[in-house]
Amino acid sequence: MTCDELRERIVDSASASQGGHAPVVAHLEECAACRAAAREYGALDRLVRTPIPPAPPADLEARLRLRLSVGSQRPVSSAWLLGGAVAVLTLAALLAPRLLRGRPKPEPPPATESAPAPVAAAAPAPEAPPPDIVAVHSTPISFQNAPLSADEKAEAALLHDFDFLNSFRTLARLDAFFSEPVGPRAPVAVPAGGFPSRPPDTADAITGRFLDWQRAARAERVRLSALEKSFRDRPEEERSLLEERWMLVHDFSEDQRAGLRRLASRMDELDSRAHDRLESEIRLIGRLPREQRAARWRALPFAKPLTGQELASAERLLLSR
Amino acid sequence: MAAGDSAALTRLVTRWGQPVYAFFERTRDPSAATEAALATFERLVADAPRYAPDVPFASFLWGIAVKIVQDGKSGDVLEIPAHKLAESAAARTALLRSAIAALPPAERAAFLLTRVARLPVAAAAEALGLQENDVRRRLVRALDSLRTSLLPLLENPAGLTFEGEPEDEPTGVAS
Repeated sequence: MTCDELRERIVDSASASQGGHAPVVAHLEECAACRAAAREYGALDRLVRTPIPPAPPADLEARLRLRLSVGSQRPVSSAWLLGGAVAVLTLAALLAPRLLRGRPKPEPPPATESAPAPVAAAAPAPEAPPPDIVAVHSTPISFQNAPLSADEKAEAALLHDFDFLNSFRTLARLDAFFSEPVGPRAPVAVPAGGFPSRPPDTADAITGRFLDWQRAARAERVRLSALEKSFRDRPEEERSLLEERWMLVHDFSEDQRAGLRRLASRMDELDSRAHDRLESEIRLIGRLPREQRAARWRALPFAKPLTGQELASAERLLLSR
Repeated sequence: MAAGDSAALTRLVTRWGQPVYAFFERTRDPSAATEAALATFERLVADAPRYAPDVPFASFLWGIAVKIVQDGKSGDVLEIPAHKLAESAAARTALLRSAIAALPPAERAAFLLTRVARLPVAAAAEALGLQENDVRRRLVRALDSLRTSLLPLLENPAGLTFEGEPEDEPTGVAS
């Protein structure tokens, strides 16, 4: 198998399995250039994905109807004309508040425009299975030159969930959004089955962890290990509390977690007095009935300049307890 | 649609508005992506009388979108300083868009159909009117070009996620 043939196979899930995986794996094991290509093809695939698919403007249909009814030189049916008339009214309704405010806004952006999302991958069309860019499904392919050593495996197996490690400091900084501040308190009850943040403890999870670790760049391994150490250096009760908090946010999207990180950074920018005041206000909001929390949160002066992503992440957090 | 069924247009935009918009949004800003999506649907309505039901509708629609995306001129990849890329998700998005937009039209279309619209290669080939092998070759060329033009992002894991981790770096953040 030549390099060209290999690359044409791995970019297409349908063709990758034709002729068996063995030639693909054998070529990758021997060819460093193709290993690099395969690794970077995968990275590119991840690059064009986004946690939140970009959304078209809400008035897309109205604008389309308007264009169809007024902008065309071809014969127009009465149904389009009627639709066009509705579109004009809809557009007028959408635009009126802006015109009255006298503040021209840019065209309605995708939902994440306020925090320029690294937009990307469209949601897959329902009938189109998402192709894996390196599409040898049943055969793990190592992109590293050497398999993990016993020491490396031991290190990898002891790490907490990577997403948790990337987030626990943020969870600590967002104290006010949780019912209990970080610090000494009664021991946290460990849920049945353990915290989802804990190191892998099943054969499948450990295998997955080894593959993740094998793929991780050296710098990333160092970073995650440092985070693990930083976490383990905390007192036991703090660790349990942070793991308990993680249970509330572990199913947040990447975008929402990014919103939490940004929110924590914004709070850190406040002077201590403003920070304390804000924390008090947030704690009060947390005690309100759930249906009142979002409105009260958005009414805070601190919340006014926040991006939609930051606001929404905080709201979800406030509603999660 | 061809008979002027107004409700059909609503169903069409509801079902396909997001994927078509996202298809263009990878190569241009939201405003221009909206314009391109509108142009796609406009052309779809105009071509509706010529639609043959034995052709999958998705192929028909993506065939139109592809023509529009291929009409766009290939620009230059933006040169953005590394520190900007490290700091700003908007800068990374701009680089990504410019790199995809800079691909030759045929490669750009193959990349967008398979990686953004997430069509199987067979369906992409149908929309492009090509053999599957041709699509794979174009896809490889596109990916190899992007490996070069997006090197600053590929070298930086934070760039890959677009959401950097500096706030969570283990450098003594107080709790």
